[in-house]
Amino acid sequence: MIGPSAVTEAGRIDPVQAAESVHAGQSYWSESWRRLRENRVAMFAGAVVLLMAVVAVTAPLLSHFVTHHTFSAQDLDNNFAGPGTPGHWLGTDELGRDTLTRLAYGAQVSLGVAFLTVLLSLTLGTSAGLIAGHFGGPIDEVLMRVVDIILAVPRIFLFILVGILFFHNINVLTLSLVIAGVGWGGTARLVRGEVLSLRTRDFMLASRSIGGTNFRLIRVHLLPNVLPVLIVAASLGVGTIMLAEAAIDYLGFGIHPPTASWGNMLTNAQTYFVHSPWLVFLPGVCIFATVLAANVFGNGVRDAFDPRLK
Amino acid sequence: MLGRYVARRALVAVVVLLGVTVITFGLMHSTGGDYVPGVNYDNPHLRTETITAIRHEYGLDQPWWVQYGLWLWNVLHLDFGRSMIDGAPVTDHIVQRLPNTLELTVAAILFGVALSIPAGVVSALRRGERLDHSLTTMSVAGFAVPEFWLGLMVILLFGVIPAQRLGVPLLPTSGAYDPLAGGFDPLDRLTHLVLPAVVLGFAYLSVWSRFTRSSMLEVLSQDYVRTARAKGMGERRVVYVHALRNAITPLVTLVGLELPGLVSGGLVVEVVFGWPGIGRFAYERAIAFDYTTVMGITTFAAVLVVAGNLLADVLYAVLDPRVSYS
Repeated sequence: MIGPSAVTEAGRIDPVQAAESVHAGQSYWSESWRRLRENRVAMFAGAVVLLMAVVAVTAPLLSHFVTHHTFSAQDLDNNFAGPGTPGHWLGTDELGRDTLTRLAYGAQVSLGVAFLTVLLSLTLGTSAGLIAGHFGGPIDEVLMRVVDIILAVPRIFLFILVGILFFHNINVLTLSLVIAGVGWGGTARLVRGEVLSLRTRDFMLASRSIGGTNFRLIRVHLLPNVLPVLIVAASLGVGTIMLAEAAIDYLGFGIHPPTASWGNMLTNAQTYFVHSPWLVFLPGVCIFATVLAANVFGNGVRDAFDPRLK
Repeated sequence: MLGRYVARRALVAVVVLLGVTVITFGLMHSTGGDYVPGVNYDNPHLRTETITAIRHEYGLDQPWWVQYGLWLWNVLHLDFGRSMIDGAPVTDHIVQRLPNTLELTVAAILFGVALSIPAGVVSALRRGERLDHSLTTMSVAGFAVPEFWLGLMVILLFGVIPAQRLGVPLLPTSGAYDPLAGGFDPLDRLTHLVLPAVVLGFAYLSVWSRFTRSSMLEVLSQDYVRTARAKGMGERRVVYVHALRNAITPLVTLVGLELPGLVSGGLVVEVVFGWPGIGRFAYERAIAFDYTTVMGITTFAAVLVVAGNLLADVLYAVLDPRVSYS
């Protein structure tokens, strides 16, 4: 499928301006961070993602103090209420559940799965990529064939398969494990490629010649050098994972109702399309806005942190 | 040299294929167990001995490695097992729906290519202008929009709302043809194809137009383009003959990368638009917990991916002498 890496140049910094403002003696990290801070579009996008995360974390408080509805409380006398109905600001669904409350809880699923999956697949993929690239030989061969195998099975089928096999055990954690179980392959390839170009460098030889162990070589020399690539991969991965997760939920193989997720709020959308289009509109806008913000922020991070773009 | 390279790639493909079958068979074995598709276990007249005999006949009482060998042998003969619901061979179901799926995905790719090249070229030629900015914004937005939701919005816009206001939808929003029309009507199929193909092609459009843009910008700064201009060649000829040709060559590779997705890539869109293809079929059978069918289709799709990758590797080696044979 289409990866986020092809997204280019949203809010790219002006190279001339960037070159002028380079301060001598600054580290790579503070320099990158400064460049990111100066990219206003990216910082705004980052703030939007942060806001969504705050909404997700405080969803129970919002439900208790602001909307006065729980995400699963049904109000069958008031189902399909339109937006602006007193007591239901954004209306209700087919069972009279409050849409605003459900959207807030939906952020928990979307962002929870996205962040957890990124964390899991980066940990797994980085370990595999470091080991394969550093040791080479048969270890490399075996690990890369495993990656080939995982990437050869079409994702959507694999998600559906796992979705029905573990139908009763799907929650945020297991869903993240499943998506990460597929997603680590790409990270592994990326990290391995970086390591292959790093292993021939002088500092590796120097460290080895004074008796540096494999573990030390990987931890002290390789890991810090692949970190920029990882940060970029992580920030660009969030949006892609959110879209995948929403599609899985929409199809009914992810998080099941009554737990609210932006994807599963749209599952039966077509059946009440005609009289309640806003019920189809709102969850989609939430997905779109959050993914867009995550991608724009990710592009900003790539522009600021990727050393090859300098 | 080339022969050895091809042989090595083929060997890797076989290893990957074996790995894929181990995954799907492992999943199937751990859940499907000794269930025999097509047998009604609720039938009170069915005796225990008969069930045992049937299981023996299908080799389900054998150890797992024998079963795996048997299953693999069948897959090699393009037999992807039988459905747990209707007992029909999965291969028959696939063959029946394959033309519809290919119709949709090929149309989407054509739509993506046909629009992304002009969009990318225009963006590159008017770099930094308003048109370039709006095309860039659209592309960034295209990355963030959920495919299924875009489908729902398109149905709302072209189907539901016109049906309410005008009495008829502007375009059909469900299925691949009108079942009441009878017979094969090319125009009817085409109108059914428009919305799903556009929604599916939209994702390609976002990627490929960005790619064409940056590729075009790179080519336009090359020496041979400057030479062509210096010779006094007309700007149109410079852009469309010298630059464009070189700029879209790498796009061919990118489009080629989507070929393995011809069967599986359209699943979500097929579901949204009720398109009678392999993806929607797999989805319907998954909802009904027809494990064997979903496994069979997954294996089939994975075989195609591996075969497609092998073909691409070989073609690349044949066409581009710079590929290192390692």
